Amino acid sequence: MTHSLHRHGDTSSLKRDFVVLTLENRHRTSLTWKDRLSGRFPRFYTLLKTVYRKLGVGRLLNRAGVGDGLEGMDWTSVFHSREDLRSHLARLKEADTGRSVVVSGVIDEVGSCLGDLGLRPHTVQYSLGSFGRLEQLPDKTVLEVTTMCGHHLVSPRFVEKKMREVADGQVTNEAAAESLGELCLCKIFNKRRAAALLEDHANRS
Amino acid sequence: MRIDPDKCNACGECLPYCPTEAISLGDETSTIDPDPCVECYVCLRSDVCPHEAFVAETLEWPRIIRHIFSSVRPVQSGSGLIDGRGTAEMKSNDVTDRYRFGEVGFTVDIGRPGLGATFADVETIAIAVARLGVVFEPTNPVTNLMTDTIAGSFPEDIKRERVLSCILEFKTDEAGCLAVIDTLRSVGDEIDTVFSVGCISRCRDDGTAPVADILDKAEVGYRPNGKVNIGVGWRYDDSGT
Ligand code: SF4
Ligand code: SF4
Repeated sequence: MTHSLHRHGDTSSLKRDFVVLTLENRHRTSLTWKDRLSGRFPRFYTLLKTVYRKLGVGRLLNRAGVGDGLEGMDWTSVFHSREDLRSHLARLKEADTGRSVVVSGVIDEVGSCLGDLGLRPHTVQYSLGSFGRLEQLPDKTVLEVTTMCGHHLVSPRFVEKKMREVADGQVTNEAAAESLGELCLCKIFNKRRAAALLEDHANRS
Repeated sequence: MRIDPDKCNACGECLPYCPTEAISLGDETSTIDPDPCVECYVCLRSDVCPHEAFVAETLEWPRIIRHIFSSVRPVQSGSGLIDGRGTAEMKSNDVTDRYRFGEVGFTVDIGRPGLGATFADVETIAIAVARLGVVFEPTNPVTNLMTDTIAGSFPEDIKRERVLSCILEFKTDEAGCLAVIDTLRSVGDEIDTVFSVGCISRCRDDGTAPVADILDKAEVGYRPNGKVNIGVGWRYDDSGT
């Protein structure tokens, strides 16, 4: 699981940060979309499989975020605008893969995208924020960056180092965001948002 | 994790990568303090060390708990793979119906953001909410470590083990939701770390969530961003059989 619930930031910055997770639905073991397709259209399924294997179509579909090339796994994508999110959700709706789809982002923005597509929230998870020894947490900008890796593999010290390097002109904000994002194994670290946060910080310092 | 002293030349490049500041720089070699080290393997995976000095040691019980909960990938242990990262929670609720109308789900991400936690911290929180009669999610890996899932207790031998974070998952009915939040607030003073709380609700036909009404009425704040299951998963009875 990717852990994209507790991303920190101001609403204006979070409005440029959506994560879409498309689940394999391991619980639905009786019938997958593969099973359904192969059961109803066996020849088409065989053809699709052959094409997939020969041309690597699966990888292309996966890159487009609408298919996984007949392999069972979770897919994640990061979007920077409501328009991009809406297009992606429209494609997922059209593909009707049977997978559960979860969007992390500003809830009102997600709700309005769903409304445009004739969809609606089925279940919502709110973040009530953090409790306990909050005084031990790093500063606001650092947290805005570190919380974009749900497993916290991007350490606060590394973010501070990159913030200093950007402020001193040693590296560009994009290059710094790139090296921070490399540590996020689930690839839900929003590098564009990180670059913007690093630039804002450099301009302030 | 350890650093091979014959390979390390104390360049210090790896220090900022460690999420728990477990690496310290010596005169001739850097070393890892085994207590704060959560065996996340970030240092090793980052490839930062020009001399390949990081050595992933074979981890025995109970230390392997650290790696199971702090690593992103499932960990090979005993006869199979163990995934410490939690369940699909609400992500597959359109398929599983794990959270139904009238219920409120909670995820308590202990150690998050970024501070880490021991299982002693985890037990303190689990016992506090268990007293309210919550039901711990039976398939969650933290629940599976409990010695008593009614009391929320854990075995002695794992309480000193530290992880980057782990997730307590449980549910209650709507009437019990605010008592859980009050309890979580007060238990925050009894531990030496932080935790982040998620609150889950099945939505009505108009897309609104009953728990939002409860939180709003009680003036409990929540972030503008959250997670939305958009309800396109196929349920068993949608599968054409
Ligand atoms: S395994 Fe993780 S916690 Fe341990 S030294 Fe390496 S980066 Fe730090
Ligand atoms: S990067 Fe390698 S050589 Fe440098 S301090 Fe770390 S372990 Fe030692």
